[in-house]
Amino acid sequence: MEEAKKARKWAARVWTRETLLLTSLLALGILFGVTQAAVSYYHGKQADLANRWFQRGEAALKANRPKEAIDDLRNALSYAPDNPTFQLRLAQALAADNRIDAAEAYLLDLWNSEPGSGEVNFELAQLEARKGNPDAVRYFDNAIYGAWKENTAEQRWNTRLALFHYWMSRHDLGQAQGQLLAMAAETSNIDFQRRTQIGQLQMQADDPRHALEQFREALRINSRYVPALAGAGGAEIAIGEYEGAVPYLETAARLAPHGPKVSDQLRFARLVLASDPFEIGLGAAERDSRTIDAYLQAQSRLASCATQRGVEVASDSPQNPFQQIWAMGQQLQLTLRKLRGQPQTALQIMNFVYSAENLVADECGPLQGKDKALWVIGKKHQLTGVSGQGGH
Amino acid sequence: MLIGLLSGLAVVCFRISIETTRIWLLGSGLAPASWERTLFVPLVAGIVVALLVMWAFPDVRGSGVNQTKAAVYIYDGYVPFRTVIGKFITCALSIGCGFSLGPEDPSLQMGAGIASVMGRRLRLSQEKTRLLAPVGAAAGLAAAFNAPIAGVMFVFEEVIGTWSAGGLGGLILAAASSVTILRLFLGSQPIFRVPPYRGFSAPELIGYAVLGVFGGFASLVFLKFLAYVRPKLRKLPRWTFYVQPAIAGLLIGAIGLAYPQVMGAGYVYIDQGLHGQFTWQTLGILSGLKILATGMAFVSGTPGGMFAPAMFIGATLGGAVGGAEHIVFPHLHGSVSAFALVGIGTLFAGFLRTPITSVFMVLETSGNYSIIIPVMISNTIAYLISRRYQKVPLFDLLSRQEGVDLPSLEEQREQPVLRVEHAMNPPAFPVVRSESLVGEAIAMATSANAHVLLVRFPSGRWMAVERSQLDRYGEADGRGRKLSDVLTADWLPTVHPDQPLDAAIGFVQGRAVVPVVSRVDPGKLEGVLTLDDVLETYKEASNDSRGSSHSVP
Repeated sequence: MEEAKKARKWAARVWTRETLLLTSLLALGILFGVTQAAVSYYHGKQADLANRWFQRGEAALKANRPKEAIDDLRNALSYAPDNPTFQLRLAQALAADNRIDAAEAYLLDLWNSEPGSGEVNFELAQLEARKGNPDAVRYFDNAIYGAWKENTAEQRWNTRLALFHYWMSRHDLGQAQGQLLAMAAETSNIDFQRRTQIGQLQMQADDPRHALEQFREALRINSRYVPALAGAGGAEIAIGEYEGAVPYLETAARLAPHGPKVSDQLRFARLVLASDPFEIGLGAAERDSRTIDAYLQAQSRLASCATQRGVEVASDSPQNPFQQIWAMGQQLQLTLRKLRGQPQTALQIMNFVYSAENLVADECGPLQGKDKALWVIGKKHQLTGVSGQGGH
Repeated sequence: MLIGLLSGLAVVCFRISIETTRIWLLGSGLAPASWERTLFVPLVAGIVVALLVMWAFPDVRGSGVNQTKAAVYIYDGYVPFRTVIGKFITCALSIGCGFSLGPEDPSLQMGAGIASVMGRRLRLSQEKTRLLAPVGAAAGLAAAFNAPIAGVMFVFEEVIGTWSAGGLGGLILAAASSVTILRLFLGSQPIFRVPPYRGFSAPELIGYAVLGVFGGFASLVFLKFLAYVRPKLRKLPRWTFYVQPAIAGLLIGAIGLAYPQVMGAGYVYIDQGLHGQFTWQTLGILSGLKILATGMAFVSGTPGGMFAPAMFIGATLGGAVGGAEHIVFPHLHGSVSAFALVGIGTLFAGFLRTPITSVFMVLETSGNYSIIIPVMISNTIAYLISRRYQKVPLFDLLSRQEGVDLPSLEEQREQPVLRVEHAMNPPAFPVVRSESLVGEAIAMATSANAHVLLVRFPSGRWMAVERSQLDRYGEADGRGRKLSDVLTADWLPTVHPDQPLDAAIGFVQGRAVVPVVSRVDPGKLEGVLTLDDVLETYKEASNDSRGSSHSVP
């Protein structure tokens, strides 16, 4: 009797426990459902708020209101803290607000999760470049070879361009020129506009020979493309090939007659060609005439510059450069009438001209017009001045 | 596991409730939408919370950790379900309305409450029900932090105090399942994102030590504020309890007008601090204001926890120290983020006085093992400073203010453990080998005037034989027999010098002497232990501790 009572009690207890466990599981299931519904609503609301704040932030960033953008993007990030786009935009806004360290912290965070991201590396590279940190190059390289979500070729081009500007800012022309050669190698042969752009950048990087190649390549596709024509003319002038420059500049001036720079370059190229006594195929009379003109021009400019500087050029015992060069010119004056058949004399006169123009350039500012043309001629023919030996 | 699942679900709903309340009442931006909301929403929320606390949920005031401890040590694991509901509602309202309090402490108590309800409904024994509350607490805290190890460690360090295999298994299972639920619903991202840590150089450790000093004193300021102001406010007339939270809310709102970062739990701003988004001066101001705002919120009786504010204060203080260090020592490259991260652990160690949890907390949230050395240095310094100038730890302080003397786990940890070596005496009893003859043993006892002899057997086992016994064995030509032949197997238990004295008590009772032997050679006698020695040692220890007993500040 007692045992039966105990058994019933035990059974009741087990039944109660199992019932409770089942009830708990049921409650757990219901709670799961309720929580799932609440979480779905919550996530939906969060996503909505995140997007709204992000759009506001992006608009503010585009409108160049970085402070406002920072607040909005931070709000957006509070709802989607791991969203890389939000983080990137916030970093951009912080950088735009000159908060470099704060921007860097977000970018490094992103970089840690996406070390191969072209966009993140590019932003980091620009930040490091602003800080003058050599790590910028590493990030630029990572960005060039990294993964971009869209417009990969365009983004790589922009990255290389930024890297080119970075090297230029550090006055490292060799690295800058190398970057442009890489850009040229990655550019389609038929993309004449981009080739022209590369050529222009190569001119900035003091690489006119490669620039000329790019302009010529562009003109091969579109022979009437004025920037390429002007660029080719400019490159020819930079190389010293004035004869080669004239056809390009003439065509450019014809196609775009209002381009002042092209007209100036053309005028100057023609002036150089018309003033050069060493030009091949010139008659003797013409050569002598050019030489005498050059002499007179240089003498006159030297005298005016000396006056400007308050120096008396005529002196029995020449002391300063003005007087020394002037004295040399005076000595050569007697030879002016005996130029014909005396190439060595013409060379001496042109050496004087080069020396005089060099001195004027140093003492009285940039040369203009014919003086500049004479200086260019001297440089082109590798003249060495009054004391040296010139020749061509 | 069921406890962990239910606790996880509760914490998920709790976090959603806090966030939804914030969006509804303060606006969807990080800073409140307008100055009116900044000022008046906490004020009105304070009134509502006070009414709820005074009329509907009187047990939700105070620290959830202490209430869980009280459940374990006083109420046989009983946590009323009403308290769970009350904590959920009042804390969601107060934290969501900008009170500078955190959701972890309430989560811990909700977990404990759910576990307690489960235990009662399942009609488990009193012993098991008592054990369930910490299991739920670990589950709740782990889900709140999204850090299971820190949750388990905290419960061991602050609630239970002792390690046992069974307890550990339950805690880990519950913590893991609650964190799984949290990650299932809210994602696996940590409560704040930690930037990549680039390691440290040896000179930077000085900076981290300085951070430990600052953290220690900041913890002290916070603790002293609570120790001084809270009892005073509790002594005020009862009607003031209705307005104290509202006044605290108004003051917090006033601070929030200039520094909205101090409102609410502040996880987003911890994240921003870790990402170097503030100047060091701003971080310094924020840490000071957060101490003030959190102190006011807590002493006013508004329900909510202090884990998140402690993390906020630590992160901002760490960032401030790191930023200042860059100015003073520009050649050091320790990032402000690293200092902010270490600062979180520093305040945990100094303010909450949980040094082990503080280290695990930082490791778990950062996922970076290499930061452990700066964390350990800074935490240890902060902990020592805090302990030096504030004898009673936070949770003990709060419980004593409430008139409950819960066991102080820090004091328990600090108590010196009495060992056998403290009570044992040099062997005063002659020792004979078991191969010796009875006659030789009698002669030895006679010459040493000893009433007991210890007999050593080759196996390293021991027996005690009294003089009267020997005399009996020696009668009728027994003197020529070996001791091993005459003695009946009544082996003496042996103890080692390093064993706790508690464990030795059972052995000495009813025995004249117990040999203390070497662990390397059980046949080598290091000393002997008697019941009188044990009792005398306890008596001396008791007198010593009475002389240096603690007092409530």
